[in-house]
Amino acid sequence: MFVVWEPILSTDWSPPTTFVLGRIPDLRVQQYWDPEHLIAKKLAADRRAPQPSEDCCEQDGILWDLVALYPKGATWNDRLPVAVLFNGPVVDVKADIESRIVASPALISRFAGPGAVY
Amino acid sequence: MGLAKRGWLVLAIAVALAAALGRQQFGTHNTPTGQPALLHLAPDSVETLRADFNKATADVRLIALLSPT
Repeated sequence: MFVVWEPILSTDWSPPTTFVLGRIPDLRVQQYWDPEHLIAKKLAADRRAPQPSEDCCEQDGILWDLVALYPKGATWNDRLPVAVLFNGPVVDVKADIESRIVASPALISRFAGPGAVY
Repeated sequence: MGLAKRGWLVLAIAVALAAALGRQQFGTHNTPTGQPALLHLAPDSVETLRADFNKATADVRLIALLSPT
């Protein structure tokens, strides 16, 4: 899991503090500070069918409070791969994330392409 | 030591401890023990995230965009 922190609100003066970073204690997580919104801009630029469209999650043209879920086998070459879930706010899509992680191979293959491994 | 002075001393120690804890929690940028350190992204380091993403193709991957406050 890749958590990308970016300054969106007027109170986001600095990188996330130890207190904030500690809210995500899972050791499998890599956390990033992205002051220039590079990943948000990349996610926006690489959106394409059949990736689902987000219902929300833009402030001043920058994506935020959003989750993108990618199946096994998907690779990021020149463009990010197509996400099977691309939506937010994060707190509202938790159940959706869990259901996608255990989705059927048929659903995943629709997004991952012929080379995907399940 | 009189009770009043002892009380002030206890209060001073409590304030110092609270300040130290506050500085540690809100003045530093450390990830939880055992987790990789926070990485600062710049145009020439987005490749780091891409490489990490592609190293994990055997897994489902999730990218979350969040605001610190």
